[in-house]
Amino acid sequence: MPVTSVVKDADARTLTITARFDASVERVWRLWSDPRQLERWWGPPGYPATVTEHDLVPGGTVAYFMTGPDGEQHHGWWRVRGVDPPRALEFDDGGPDMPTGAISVALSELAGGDTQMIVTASWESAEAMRRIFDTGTDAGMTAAVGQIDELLDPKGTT
Amino acid sequence: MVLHEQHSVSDLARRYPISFAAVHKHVGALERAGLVTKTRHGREQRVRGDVATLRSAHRLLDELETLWRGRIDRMEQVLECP
Repeated sequence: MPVTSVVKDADARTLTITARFDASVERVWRLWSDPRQLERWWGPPGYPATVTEHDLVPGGTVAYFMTGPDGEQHHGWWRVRGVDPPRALEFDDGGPDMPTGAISVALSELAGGDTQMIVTASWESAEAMRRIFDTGTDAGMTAAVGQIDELLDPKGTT
Repeated sequence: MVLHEQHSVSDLARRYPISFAAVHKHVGALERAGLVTKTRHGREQRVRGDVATLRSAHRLLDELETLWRGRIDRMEQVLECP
């Protein structure tokens, strides 16, 4: 498991998740900076993301949609607030039926050439957080179902 | 979907591209996590989201943690298979 720590602050509505990867900082940065790589991990299982715009500059937009099992599309976007390749990225994350959360990503090199990634996600209100999971649902509930599927069956044997 | 109204397990199975047995397993996991409640109506088991629970910030952060853990696992898979 690459996740090394998780800190949740309910009062500040902030999640800080730290991971360690056996890869260089430049390589991990490409997961965010290359839209074709981003598509492979952003959407939950069964909801692959298609990135239609990817302008990783301050004020730029990253636009995407996730395609569900019935072909329905869930659109979302990032508004880039700051970017410092290959180490730091900050953006607001939202969509037509989703709240805006603020996400920051920080990459740093560890001894041995591994990379530490710290993702901090925060939401303005509990309502904004809740909407992620119950907007008409499909996206939220199915995301939860997909994630639980992985938890129950980490080897993907079902 | 289950947050807004009750659904039977077989109805949920129709809505998602997974088997009845898999939905049943998912619902069981959600129930143990306190996220849904199940009630029996005749031969059918119906499922409903526990909105009060879902609304607590602690619970939401747990859900968001799960979302990000999934993303980070997929990131590692991408790193392994460029």
